[in-house]
Amino acid sequence: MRLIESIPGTEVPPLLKRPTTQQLVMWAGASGDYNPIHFDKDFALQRGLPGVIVHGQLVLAFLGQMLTDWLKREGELRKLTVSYKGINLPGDLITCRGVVKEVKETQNELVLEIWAENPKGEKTVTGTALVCTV
Amino acid sequence: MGEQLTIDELKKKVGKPWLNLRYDIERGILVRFAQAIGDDNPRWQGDEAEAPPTLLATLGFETAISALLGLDAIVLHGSTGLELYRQVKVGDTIVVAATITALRERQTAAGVVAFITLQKDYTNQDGAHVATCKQLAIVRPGMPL
Repeated sequence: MRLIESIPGTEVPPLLKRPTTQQLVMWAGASGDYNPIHFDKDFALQRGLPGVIVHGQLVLAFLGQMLTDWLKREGELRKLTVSYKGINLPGDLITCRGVVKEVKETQNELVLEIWAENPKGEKTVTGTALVCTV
Repeated sequence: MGEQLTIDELKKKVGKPWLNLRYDIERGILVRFAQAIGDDNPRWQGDEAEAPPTLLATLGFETAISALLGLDAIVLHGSTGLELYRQVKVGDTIVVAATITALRERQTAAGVVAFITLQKDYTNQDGAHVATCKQLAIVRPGMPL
């Protein structure tokens, strides 16, 4: 199906990720986020976390990849807004999902609800996206 | 890494221009970023590579967050709001102007939690406003839950 044929309820193909601790280190380097809670287990445990946790903005980047994979060259991302509701642990599956909520035909825009789920099905990152068809 | 600040020092910066940071968008930066995500989209590769949209959210955040990491606390992301006006490509130079737009504190059972809103505006080498990003950082006392 082409992007322009999307209707409310159209689902974005899910993107599955299972980040390793090595990937968290790669992300720390690539993003510049050297917060020790993402690579120093002792530090994370001392501060009450269950261990090192996945960077929230890495999950945001996964959601961004889900959208750009789906848009291909048929559309552009205009807005991406998320809240970080829960933690993801390295080694756990992260499922990124999205669904079209609204079609603004006059502006060639689609409003989407997007989220990432942990293996329990809990939404750890939730938000909205605005895309424009080209 | 940038300067280390206390919450009280940050409070004095609310509403004033804080950081002004320059980034050259080089191929290697985009390759490393895409590899860290595991995103093999050809758009992010080659001489005409575009920047993945979420790269912009990370620019400037490291300097802002490192200002807080000396605290005996944990810094968590609360939210990110990214608006994109123009595609960023290899060869662009992006200046990020960051301002703390709000800082509020709330007393909790674990101690005082600070909510810091950071706004970043991105301008390219032609002076075009390419993106805006608002980020909420939550600074929580480093106590066992």
